[in-house]
Amino acid sequence: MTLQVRNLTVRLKRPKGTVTVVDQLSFEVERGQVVALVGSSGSGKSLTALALLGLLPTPPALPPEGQVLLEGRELLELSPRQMRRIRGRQMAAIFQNPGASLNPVRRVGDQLIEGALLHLECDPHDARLQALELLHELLVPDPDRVYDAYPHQLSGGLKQRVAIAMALITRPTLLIADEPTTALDVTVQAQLLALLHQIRERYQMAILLITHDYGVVAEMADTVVALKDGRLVQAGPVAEFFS
Amino acid sequence: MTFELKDLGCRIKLARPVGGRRELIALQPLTLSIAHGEAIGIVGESGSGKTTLGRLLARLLAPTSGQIHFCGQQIDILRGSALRPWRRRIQMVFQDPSASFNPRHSLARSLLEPLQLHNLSPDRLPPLLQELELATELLYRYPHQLSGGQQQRMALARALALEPDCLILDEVTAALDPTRVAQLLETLRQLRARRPVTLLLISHDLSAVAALCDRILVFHQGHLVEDGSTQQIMQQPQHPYTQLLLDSVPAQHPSQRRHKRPSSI
Repeated sequence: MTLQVRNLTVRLKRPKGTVTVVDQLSFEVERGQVVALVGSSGSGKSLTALALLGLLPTPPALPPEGQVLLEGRELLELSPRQMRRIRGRQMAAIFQNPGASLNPVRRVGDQLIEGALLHLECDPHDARLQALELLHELLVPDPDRVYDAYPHQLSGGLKQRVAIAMALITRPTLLIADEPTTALDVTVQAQLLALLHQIRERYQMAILLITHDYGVVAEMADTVVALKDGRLVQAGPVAEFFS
Repeated sequence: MTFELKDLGCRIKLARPVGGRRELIALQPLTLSIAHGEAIGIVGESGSGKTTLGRLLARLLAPTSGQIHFCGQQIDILRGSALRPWRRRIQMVFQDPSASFNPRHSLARSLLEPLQLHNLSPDRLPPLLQELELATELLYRYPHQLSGGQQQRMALARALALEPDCLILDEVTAALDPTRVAQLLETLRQLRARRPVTLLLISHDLSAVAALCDRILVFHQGHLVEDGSTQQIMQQPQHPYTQLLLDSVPAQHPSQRRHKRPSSI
């Protein structure tokens, strides 16, 4: 089992006391499986992702409670330094707005190889070759040009592919994709969903897909975990969810 | 006819040349008629000219060629006070509701201002808010104190309070979750049933467009590539780009899942 979440609880500190935004949430993601975390706005999907990644802003959030096991290792007990070693290496994330995931004043390539230099201790030349190969695999046209470009010179779809490449360069075991196609056109969305299928098959990666788009769920997910007001309301195979 | 468009086109001058070009053709000249009370979906990818057409019709952008006739009046030549009464009759609601309101004004101020400007009674606001399931107390709040869905309905209320003949909705469903989209579509359906408003729904969400509109215009790279009834466009698309758009719509059930080979962007 790649990811096991047991009784995850996230609370936010408010002037009038604490509010529970994720309440006793439990689910699992296996290797090569896509689990969709669905729910309406404010249901706690993205806060769950941030809690798994150790990126919850504290304050206003209180330290999350429960258990998050990544390949058997408890993440909630790790120090920020230990968590930094895991984030980007064993687990990676892509977010809704690819533009905000990239530093606007640094070239795409420099940002792309950062994970490989930091976590895999590659030399820059090897990291560049790996990055170009990954861009090629992700069907990025003219990878050399994209590698040397600044983010503003790329379309939304290309930026999201670069963000995916950044996430994949260290070959993580778990990919958390938070609304990865929401900001994109329907045609580009279809291309990216097909790419995520390929990634899953090629790398046998566990994918936690956070979305409120049931079309994306129908296309991608094996299992659905539905949240409402921070609580699990339904969990099971995707076909069951749609029936 | 509500709108008669004759060779309507729009070119935008670029601040800096891009690829040797000094201007961008945002909308290729098009000729089109839109009947009163029609609900039209305008679809296409980013940069295809959908929003440019909406902004031209709302007179938020000046055409560089052609004419716009609205209810028999050529409105593209009107300026200033001559245009004001026509502005009331054509209202537009935008994708990002938080950017549609002045963050330093209460919603009451933002919603009452256009009514005062057009000498309309503020009494029409409370029933409208009720219809859109918005509590009147929300008027005393600031935009950031409302959720995205509430802000979007407030923007809709502001537009509807002026009782426009034409309502242009630019990607209003994009930031909403499916429950909110369904609610908004139902509200618009009820609105149309009560009052024959001409509706232009600009969207890349084909299911929303198909649920509400009688006719669909498909844009690609500034060109109007297909114009037909919703049924014809959804079932027998003629243009390859329309076919691509329909093929790109995600499956509605896992049993319809397709594993597509992606082409390059």
